[in-house]
Amino acid sequence: MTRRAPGNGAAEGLTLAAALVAFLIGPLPVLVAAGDALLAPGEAWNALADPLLWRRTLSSAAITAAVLALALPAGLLAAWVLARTDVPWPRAWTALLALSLFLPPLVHAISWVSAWRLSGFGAILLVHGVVATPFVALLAMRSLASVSRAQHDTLRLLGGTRAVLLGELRHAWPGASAGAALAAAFVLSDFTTADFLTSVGPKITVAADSIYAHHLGLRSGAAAAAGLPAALAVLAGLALAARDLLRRGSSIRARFEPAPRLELGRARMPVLLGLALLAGAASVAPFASLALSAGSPAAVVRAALKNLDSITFTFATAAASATLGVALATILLALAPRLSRAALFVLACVPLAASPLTSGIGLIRVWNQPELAWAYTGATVVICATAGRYLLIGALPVADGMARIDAGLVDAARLAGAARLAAFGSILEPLLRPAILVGWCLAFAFALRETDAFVMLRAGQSALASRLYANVVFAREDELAALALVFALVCATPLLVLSATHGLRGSRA
Amino acid sequence: MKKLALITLALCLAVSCSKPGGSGEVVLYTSLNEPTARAVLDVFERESGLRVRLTADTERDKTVGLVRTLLEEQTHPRADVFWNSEAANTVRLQRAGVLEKLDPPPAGWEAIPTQFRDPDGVWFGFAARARVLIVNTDLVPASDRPRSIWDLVDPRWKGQAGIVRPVTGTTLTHLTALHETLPPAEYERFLAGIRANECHLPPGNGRLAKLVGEGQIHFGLTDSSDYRLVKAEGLPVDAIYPDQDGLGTLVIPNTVARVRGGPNPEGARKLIEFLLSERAEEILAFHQRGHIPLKPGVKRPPEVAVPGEFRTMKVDFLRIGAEVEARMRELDARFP
Repeated sequence: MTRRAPGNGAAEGLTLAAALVAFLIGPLPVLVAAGDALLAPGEAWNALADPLLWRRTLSSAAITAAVLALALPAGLLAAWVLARTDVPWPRAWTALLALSLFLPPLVHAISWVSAWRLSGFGAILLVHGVVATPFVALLAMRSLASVSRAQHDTLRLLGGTRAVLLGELRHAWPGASAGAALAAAFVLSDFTTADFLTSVGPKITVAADSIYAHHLGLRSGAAAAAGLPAALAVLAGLALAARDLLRRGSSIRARFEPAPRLELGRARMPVLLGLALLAGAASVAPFASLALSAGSPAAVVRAALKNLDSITFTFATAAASATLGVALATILLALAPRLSRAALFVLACVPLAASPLTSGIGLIRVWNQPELAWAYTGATVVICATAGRYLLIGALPVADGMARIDAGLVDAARLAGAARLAAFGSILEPLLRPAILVGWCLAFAFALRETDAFVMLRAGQSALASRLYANVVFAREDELAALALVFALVCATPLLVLSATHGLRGSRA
Repeated sequence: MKKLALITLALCLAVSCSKPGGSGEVVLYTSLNEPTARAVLDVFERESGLRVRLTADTERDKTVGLVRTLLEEQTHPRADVFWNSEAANTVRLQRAGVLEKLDPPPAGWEAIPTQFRDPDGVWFGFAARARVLIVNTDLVPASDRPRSIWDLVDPRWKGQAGIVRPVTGTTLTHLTALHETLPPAEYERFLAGIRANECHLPPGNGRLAKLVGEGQIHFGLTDSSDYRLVKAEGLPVDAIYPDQDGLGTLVIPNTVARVRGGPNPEGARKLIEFLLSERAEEILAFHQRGHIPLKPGVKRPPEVAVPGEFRTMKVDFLRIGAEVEARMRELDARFP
């Protein structure tokens, strides 16, 4: 009989508690709402047999495929240039790219429309593309941080710079595919961008329109069923990405030496131009358009003061939500047994794959209890809802960091008598810190942007993004633009902190 | 890292603890935009001493959020009052048992025209909007202006007219009203004509009005409140009350009702009575959006016309409420 090491009981307890909380705030509301499909099987079947649903699903799939066809190469190349070459001001470029993530796609759409009156399929691709590219780029950069000098030298010996580029792009693939899967999840669930960008000319409707129509018609079972094809596609994409991410070998060994950066030489100017084009489309153009529409800095200040309560609420709840989500993800990834970890990963995918309106209904059913009135009518439900929904987003960079840490480091500590919790605190957590920060920032950004799941939640209406959307009703670009700029400035704060402290490019974990 | 966690957890606790509650508060769910609702509620709060906690829908959700929330919360209601910017969804909630009759009825209810209140005293209409044709005056000369909703399907306007994709909001209510009013063949001709005439289908009435103001669409069907916002921006637009020599112009009231089992029924009554007062209608009439007072004798700006000054379409909102779900399903399939 083996003797349990002191502190291991605490680790198991902590893991169990984290798993329980993660389940309660993440998949449970979705499963509760999706259960309507089982309660009304006829309604669900009719929804699935509706040719219109499949036509719209195909339309969504076509948009998603086209967006990824743009975002994957652009994001991969941008990541490689920023992480592996001596391009000037890499942190500034990275921050500019990441900035676009903080604006909801509808605001991107409004900014492009007000500047250039773009519309139609091309405009939809552009808007979703500029939001999806940073997803791919940021996560691919995390993967590229683990390219070692030995790998680099071998590739160079085998085939020169071309082989280095191709080899390292393959190395970046797990991160890039995770980014693409996340981007696809958001494109598939979005139901406003296509509608807004086809205000004039032929209308394009998407799968989310069918789900929305069923919700509007109060057919919950049909809505849950109609969301199934997109949800399964997202789950498959996330599972593939997670497999790639978790399969990789570890790279943080005692003698790990990062690969040297490549000199761009004559390619410097074209590369800079390409980056400028990408960052310009993703961030500079939308923000410039918003700034012009806002009219004056005074208008932005007025918008900030008018919405001070909302800014405080949004910032605090998003920060708390990101902390809760990343803490849960880190505990589960570091302490749970490998098999349970995979199961938990799948469960974390569920809230992201589900239709946000379905999530919202589930949240009401779970939280609107007499004993939980304090939580349901206050900020707690907002914090838990966003932490649950974006658990995976916070978890992916942490999982990426974990995959690159040599398990031998922890084993050595355990052999030396350290308890699991102690080994986690003294070895894993310090090595994971940059990955945790990236995960926190991504979870924070998405918690800030959230409106869909809040549609149903009374407390969620206090969020800044909800007010932003409420302004769309006026079709007043000046007020909307001022508020959007305030929103972006609020969002950019953690990004600037991250960029200034750790950077997103080169740390080892 | 630990510091960051501590700071954010402290924020979490601070925000979580800032929850509202108490009998001095009325919880209002409204599909009206927040700034307009606030113009009235600020006065109510000052005069009654009650605080109104407001949950507004966003344009993006077009009332679906609030209706679904009210239905889902039916077992443990959190709202006291539902103020809807139209009538059809109020009737749907009434039919689902979410709303309750005010007994005795609110003060001054008799002055509301019968067409705009529930005969059973569950909901009451006030401060309406007209469904108007908004026309770009630079693109459409005065002699050539559309006069009827049938102009939307007139081939001479092919590709130049617009109507909100009719699956939500007041446009859905409007098409449901047409379904209830027109002979079936005429209704069918109208729907087929919208598609055949390549009408543009923007996502909301505000967006449609803006597109007309910018000259991207020559004219379209929208709410009088959205027309007024675009006009106030100085864009070249005019509003036409359609079908003055026939069907009449559809007028859609705001509606208000008490939520069954809400936490503060007495506060709810006070708020409803204030919203139905001449004072509230006057505030909304002078607001930027220019809501149409339904009670006689309410002060209003000269440009806000009231029923009687133009011909209105005769509709039964109870029938529209009963029918709207079926129409929404039909129209979603017909405008895919």
